[in-house]
Amino acid sequence: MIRRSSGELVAAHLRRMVFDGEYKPGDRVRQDEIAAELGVSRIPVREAIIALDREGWVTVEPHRGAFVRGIDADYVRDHYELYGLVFGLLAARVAERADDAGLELLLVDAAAVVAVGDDPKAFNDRNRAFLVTLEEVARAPRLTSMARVMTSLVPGNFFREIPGAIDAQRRGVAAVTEAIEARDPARASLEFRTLLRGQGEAVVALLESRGIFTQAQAQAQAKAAGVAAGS
Amino acid sequence: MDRPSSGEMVATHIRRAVTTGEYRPGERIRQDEIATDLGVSRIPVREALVALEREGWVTVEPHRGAYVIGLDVDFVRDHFEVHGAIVGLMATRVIERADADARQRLLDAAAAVVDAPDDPAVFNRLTYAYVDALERAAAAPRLTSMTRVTANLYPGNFFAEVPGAMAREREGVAAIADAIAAGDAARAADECDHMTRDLGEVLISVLQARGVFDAPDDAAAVTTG
Repeated sequence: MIRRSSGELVAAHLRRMVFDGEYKPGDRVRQDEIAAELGVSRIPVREAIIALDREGWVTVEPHRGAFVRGIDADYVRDHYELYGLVFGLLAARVAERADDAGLELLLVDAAAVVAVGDDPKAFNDRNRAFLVTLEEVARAPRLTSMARVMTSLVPGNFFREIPGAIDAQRRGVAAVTEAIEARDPARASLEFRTLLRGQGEAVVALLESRGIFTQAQAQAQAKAAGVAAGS
Repeated sequence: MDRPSSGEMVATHIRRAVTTGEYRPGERIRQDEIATDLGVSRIPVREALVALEREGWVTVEPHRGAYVIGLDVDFVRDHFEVHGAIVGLMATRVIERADADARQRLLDAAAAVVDAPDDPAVFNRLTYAYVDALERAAAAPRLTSMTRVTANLYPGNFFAEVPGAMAREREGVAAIADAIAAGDAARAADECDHMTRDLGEVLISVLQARGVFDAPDDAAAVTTG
């Protein structure tokens, strides 16, 4: 396993806090508190904030600090649309560039995703192996680095947290792979986008049921009302 | 305008070193040297490397250092392809989400780019204003944060240094605005894709002429030969 830097550990901690609704949109990130809580210096906390700014979780305002951007349904939809776009391009590059040996590797990994059972841990492992092979066979470092930036809206195991995600992934991976095997880049890309758009809707449904958007909306409305009252 | 932080200044410095070919693919980033050259401490250098890793310019290997991923033709092409697709998605969000005011401001900003003089500094400023209006009208912070990751491929004034870029941008912005005014999301996205891809090809020919894509051995041969 790849050892993660303390900056990455702090980033994972902050993402989890936003996802669980512990940090609300507009909240200031309390950097000293987080450093003390996790027993690290302020340097990895700053590194985490810069990474999260690039990922769109927080906004850094020079000389003021970092503020939580928060997530609403549109944000989640845009995230998965982007995710589909990046992985769709990777799949298209595989359909264009893969040699027979690379294609064979990918087909084996895709078959394993389809065949593995419903255990979320095993499924997640197989799915990850498929994505890693897809990235390798695509030989597109620019897209791979973007894919790495994209992967973390749901902290923890996506397939454990999101109901119905395993079945949808199985169907989608099969459709993507079929298009790649037919050397059809446009269809491969479209199938990936469709798959992730569907996964995004499942995340929206889950967060709605947890009331996370409602809190964000109420907060935004309260802020808007405050502004209106103040003007 | 906000003053860039020292971390951002270091990031721009490193991006420029990669696009001028000073740093080659696989080369180790000399962090102490950069800190000394720019008169900053090592902390902003580390911050820059975290941002550049997220943007796909370098890989950071714990306890070993940071290495340049480097540019090749496919890298630049993929970069522009993905950037165009994201901006295209933004244009479709404008049609879905923008209120009448935001949409009008966007169309005005687009018209200003189309009518802009050929002065690269003015053109660059009006293009920024257009992109800003597009981002506001799309009301899509997730996409905006991603375009900040993809917007930085060329450090410097793209329009001053890349011949032909202004004419292509002008033509593309006109076509995108036309599609948005017509409420045609698919055409707006296509025009974004198309323009961005073409700009990528223009940049590729400039970088090729600079020798940025040459293998390090070839570069050495040219220098010594």
